[in-house]
Amino acid sequence: MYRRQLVLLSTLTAAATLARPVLGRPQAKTLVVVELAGGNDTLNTFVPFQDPNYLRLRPTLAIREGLPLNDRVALHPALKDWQSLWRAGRLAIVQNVGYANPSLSHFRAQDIWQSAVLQGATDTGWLGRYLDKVQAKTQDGIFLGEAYPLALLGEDQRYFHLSPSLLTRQAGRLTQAIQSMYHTPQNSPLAEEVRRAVLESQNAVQKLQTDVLQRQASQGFTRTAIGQQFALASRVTENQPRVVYLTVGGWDTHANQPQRHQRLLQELGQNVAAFWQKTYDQPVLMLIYSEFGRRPQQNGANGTDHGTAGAVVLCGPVRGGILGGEPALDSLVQGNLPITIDFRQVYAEILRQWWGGNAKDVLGEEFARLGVLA
Amino acid sequence: MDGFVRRAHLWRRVAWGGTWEELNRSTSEGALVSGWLQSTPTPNFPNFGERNRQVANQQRRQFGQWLINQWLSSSNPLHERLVNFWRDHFVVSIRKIRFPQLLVDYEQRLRQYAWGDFQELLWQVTTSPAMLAYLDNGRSRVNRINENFSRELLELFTIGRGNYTEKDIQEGARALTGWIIVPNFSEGRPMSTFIPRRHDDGVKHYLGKKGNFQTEDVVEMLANHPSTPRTLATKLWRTFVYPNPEPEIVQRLAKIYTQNRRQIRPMIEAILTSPEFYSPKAYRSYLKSPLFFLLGSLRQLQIQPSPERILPSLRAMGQIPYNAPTVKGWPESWLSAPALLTRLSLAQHLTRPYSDDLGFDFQPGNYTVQDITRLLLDGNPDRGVTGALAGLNIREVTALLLASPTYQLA
Repeated sequence: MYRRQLVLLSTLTAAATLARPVLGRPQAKTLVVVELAGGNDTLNTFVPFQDPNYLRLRPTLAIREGLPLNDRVALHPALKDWQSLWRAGRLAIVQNVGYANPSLSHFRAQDIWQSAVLQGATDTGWLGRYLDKVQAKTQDGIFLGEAYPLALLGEDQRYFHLSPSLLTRQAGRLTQAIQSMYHTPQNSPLAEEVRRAVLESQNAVQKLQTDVLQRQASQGFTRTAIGQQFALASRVTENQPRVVYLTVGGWDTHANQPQRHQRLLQELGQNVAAFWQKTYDQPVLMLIYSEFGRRPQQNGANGTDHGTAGAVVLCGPVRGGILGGEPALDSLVQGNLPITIDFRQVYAEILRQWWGGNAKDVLGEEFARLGVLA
Repeated sequence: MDGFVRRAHLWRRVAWGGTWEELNRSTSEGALVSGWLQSTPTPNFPNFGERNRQVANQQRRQFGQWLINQWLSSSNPLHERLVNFWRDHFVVSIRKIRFPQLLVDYEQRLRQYAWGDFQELLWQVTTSPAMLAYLDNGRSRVNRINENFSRELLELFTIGRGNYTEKDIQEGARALTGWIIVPNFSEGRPMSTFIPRRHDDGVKHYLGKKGNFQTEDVVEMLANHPSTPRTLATKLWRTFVYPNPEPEIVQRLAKIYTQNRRQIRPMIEAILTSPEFYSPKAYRSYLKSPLFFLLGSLRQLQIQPSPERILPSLRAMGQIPYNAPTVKGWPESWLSAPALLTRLSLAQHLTRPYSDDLGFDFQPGNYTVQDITRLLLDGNPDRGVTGALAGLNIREVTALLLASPTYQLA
């Protein structure tokens, strides 16, 4: 009984807290994690346009009209909104990130990135473990999406889960009837718990929704589901949680990559830029990653297949620039890029330098300083 | 509980909810239970052929559909319910396993051995290709021991924390070495086999005993360890009766296990015929999981589900079969916003008139408001329901009741 009631209480408190604006709280540092599910083709996102191997491996897929970030790397043109972030030194790109013996399976690779455990089945995620260590409250971790990720699973804790799809309002006499039913106290204690949990969640969702719709328009988010997801992320970031986690799907571009990738990047680019239109009261860092990159050689369907190393992006108070060397297109391993940087090194930097925590406690071992955070 | 309520409660606990016909049948609860306990159905299993990455995605969906059909149309709902219990206890996840052929094999084992000797079931699970893949025992070999399975076997599947040491995990892992999944599936049927040269055949010290233990010995020791029936008794009671069984009850049930040579069937029978089963304490005593809510609604209302609609709804509520987030299984509490709020919108979708994009086909037929209230709420509407009914048609009434706080309770 006690565990269940604790969970209920924390869910209700989380919901209520999220709906209220935050005033004058001591500063927690927020990490916003954007997972691009499916495997973003970072080779075409950050283009090694001087490398002759690039054009050889991608005769029709190569990006030729990129926006140069320096004399070696160009940005996919759909990410034009990121140029101002780059010029302001608020964009860091870490190349060739992965781990030893990488998996080419979406599920397995996602589990590895989210748990930061390379072998075995795991119970917890790296962020869940960190939040547990600092005894975070339910609303200190917020997931915006459909399927709650392993990354945010603590030992015993689930953090706050809000699906953006819940923000679509329904109207009509049936909805009214359901509302009226839920505004009547119940006889059984358990039914009463359900009633209160539903009402509080609905309340929080409705308050957030009004905020989010306004923000979607004024801050420049796209008028799509993803735009709403990012607008919601921006809104909940104002509550100063430690972690906001969103999953954006659709990146598995096996076929017809040019148009699809263009659309995906355009939407991502605009919404990330819109997120940073706002100045947050507390320090905010954004991490954008995928479970793997894609194969350098294009396939027969004008697309790319699952690969290994990919680039990881950090936005905000970073040492702007590009780390990790260049994709080694001339020394592929079984057709895929070799890994230079273990992704856990990025996590360790965030845990140590961003949050001032203990990386070894969360990741099980120490990792050398990367130097990507300011 | 009075007659009708007793029947509704039994069907709810056994089958996630009874249909109108089932709730109005005159068969006694006792006769129903004995009938179920006497038969072990063998359904037709899908055959997916040799592993093929191209079609694996599609096959996983087909497997999901097959599973849902089993739940909704099983001739023995009690057996089906117990198999689901084992699925949630001996967790494996398609996220890691990937090929549904292994899950078909896993289902065959769970179904055949669900209420027989627990030692046999434990052996079947331990040597199944699915479990060998999920918890890595299929990669564990002498000099390259993997402790994953040994740990969860002790912690989650049998005796539980506090009854073993870290050393036991390591020694158990040594004893469990030698198994692999046979590389080629003949006719799409996965198999496992024991390879002696991969086995660590030294002496082990395990749970206070010493010997050249192999997998058979580990399984035997754990199946006969006094803490195992306590773990099972507690979980079975929680599933069928109410959370937090009293120590006397756990003891009583554990004794039945021991006195009946580890047979599960007598434990189930004892649970369903116990005075506590029909007590007020058991009535509507816990929150339904998303699967329970959705499949129960479909079953009670005899709605033909469109498979493409079911899986997305389960995903939105956070519970797709064989997709538990970790080996610990599903969360203890489903009180999160998406799990709950999605039910409210589902209630409306389930009862709308059928159209191409909606895909649920609820036929209200001759149901009156009173009929639906009896069917879904045992004839005891929530406070606030009666007032809210005014002006609603029968589909909307059904939606209202499906969305009600009480309907969320098992």
